[in-house]
Amino acid sequence: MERSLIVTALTAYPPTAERSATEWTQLLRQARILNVLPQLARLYDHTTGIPSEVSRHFESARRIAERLALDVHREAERISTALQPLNIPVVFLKGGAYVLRELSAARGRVFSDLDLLVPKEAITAAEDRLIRAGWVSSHHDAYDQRYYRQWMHEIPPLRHLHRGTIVDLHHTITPPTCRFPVQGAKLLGALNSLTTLPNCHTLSNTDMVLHAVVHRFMEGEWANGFRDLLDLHRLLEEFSKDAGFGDALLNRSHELGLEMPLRQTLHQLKRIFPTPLSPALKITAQRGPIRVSERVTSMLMGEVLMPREADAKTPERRWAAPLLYLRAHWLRMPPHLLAAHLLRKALRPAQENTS
Amino acid sequence: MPARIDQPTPLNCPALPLSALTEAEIQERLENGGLALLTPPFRFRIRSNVAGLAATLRALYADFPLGSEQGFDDFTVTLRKARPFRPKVHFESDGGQPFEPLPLAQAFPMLEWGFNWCISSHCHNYMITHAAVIERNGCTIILPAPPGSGKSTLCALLVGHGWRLLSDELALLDPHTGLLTPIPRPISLKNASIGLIRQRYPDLQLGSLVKDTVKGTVGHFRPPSDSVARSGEPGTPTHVIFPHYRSGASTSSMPLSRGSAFMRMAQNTFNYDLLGQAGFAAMGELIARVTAYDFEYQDADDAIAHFDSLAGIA
Repeated sequence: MERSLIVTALTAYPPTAERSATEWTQLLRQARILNVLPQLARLYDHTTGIPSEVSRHFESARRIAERLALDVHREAERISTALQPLNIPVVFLKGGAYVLRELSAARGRVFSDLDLLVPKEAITAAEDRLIRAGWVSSHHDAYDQRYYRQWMHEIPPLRHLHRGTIVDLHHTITPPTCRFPVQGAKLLGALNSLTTLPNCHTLSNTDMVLHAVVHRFMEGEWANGFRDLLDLHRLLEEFSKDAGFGDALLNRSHELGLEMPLRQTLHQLKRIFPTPLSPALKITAQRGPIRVSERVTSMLMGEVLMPREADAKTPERRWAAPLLYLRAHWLRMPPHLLAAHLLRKALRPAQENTS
Repeated sequence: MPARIDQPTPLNCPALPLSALTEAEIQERLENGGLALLTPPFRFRIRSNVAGLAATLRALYADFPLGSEQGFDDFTVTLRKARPFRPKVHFESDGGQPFEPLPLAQAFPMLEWGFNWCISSHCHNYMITHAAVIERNGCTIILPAPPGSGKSTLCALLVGHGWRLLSDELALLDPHTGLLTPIPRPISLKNASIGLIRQRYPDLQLGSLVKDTVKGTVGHFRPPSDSVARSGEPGTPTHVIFPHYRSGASTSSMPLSRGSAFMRMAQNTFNYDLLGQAGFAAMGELIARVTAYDFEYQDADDAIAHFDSLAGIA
């Protein structure tokens, strides 16, 4: 299958500087539209012969990524210090974890929130500690507060008063009411410790991949869909150097009840990226959607994930995006809860909605 | 030095200017494929279905060179008219939509704000300060601007008087060289300043006048041809002057310590924080080399005389 310009550029080694001016235009445009320009720039770190008009945009994107990585290290240290007295495991998730573990997925990845996971019983104490260190809740509406705390796998985002950094505090990786509930305790039982920060960890390699999978599978926003797949591509590329990783991932997906999201997401990934997969994973990816509902989902996802030429509609404006948005809500909670939640949101006075 | 794939600057190889095209030809390009316009150091590909935009562009960007069809575009921007009743315009650039749609009449100012957004949010290879930059006889002055300071008015007064325009809105400092990259796009003025400049310099062409924007009445003046022709010549900063227009003030300057000049410049620099150590170093070098002070004025003639004296003109 022919891969698009952006996918080829992000995955071919070594990266080529032999491109026409029109190709560079298209490549940078696609990278901006899909929010992966810093990743592309980092790939070209050591490539010579890039035209100066192009290399200055790479320099700019690189500066954004460097700044972010620096901020992540600093904030991680502050968070670690703030939570130290509790003596609980503090787990960095997603982008923050990639940066702290110095994984290849971190190279150029830009994100706005730091996601943390702590034991469920310690979440209130952890929140309290973070508030004392300057992070305050950004949602002031009583219903929002209750909604998060009662139904979600995280508390409302905390924003630092001075630095503006945002921390999302989780007790597990999926909402307890959703179709794929995961017990936080199972994740905490298999952590990967960070040597640089006391009591700080990331998820194990398999769980990190499964988190990226289930996040992409359940998410309703698609502007970063392609970037999320690129993360997965990089994670699998790196972890698959360990020959047993594919089987471990499959086993773990059964343990955590995430077999279907893994199968579906790998299927999407393989349609777009030349990700090296172990034989067992390859079979899983090839099986793809099985039931009719899975086939529909798969078709909709392909519609928003597949990169198109730069002049086509951006992923979040394609026809499938609103349907997938509804689907994400559908997966998140059972119908009676969803109906109550939507009714509540709809009836809320207008001025509260805007605040 | 890496190879350039685009046209050289107009300085060493004059390309066809926008004014060589008729309004209809410009319109045709805007509607199909896009108009490749070099506003050094960037090249924008502009697409639009807004009637009348071609005329405004032709008036204000007359001297700017056209890019070849096959060249490299730094940004592709789209200004799209939507809704048949009380139409609004939408701005979009490479997937980014930084603004809410605006009434059709504000299409041109929106395009200008869009250009500024593209640069200030994507070009961190420069240290980008909200400031006007002007030059005469090698005296290159940065006028940083907290809103309401009268920066653009002062800039227009001096440019109309013969100073070279490097930028009306964004000072682009290359952290590697410490030099200012000119970007002499149209000068934007607001409210009473527009009448003042028109009266004083009837030759300076007003290309767009829009009432009732969020900033009040906004007018754009065409940059002098000489400034556009010299857009390939970077400026070596000599002064940082914080202008302050105050009704009833006498013209006066108050020296600033290096520390406060540094802090005040940093406050007006969009990406100072993002650049981290590189920004700190670049700002430090800039402040060490320039004369910095606060400048209060009311009378235009006095203000011009003050600046002329800095450039060694009696």
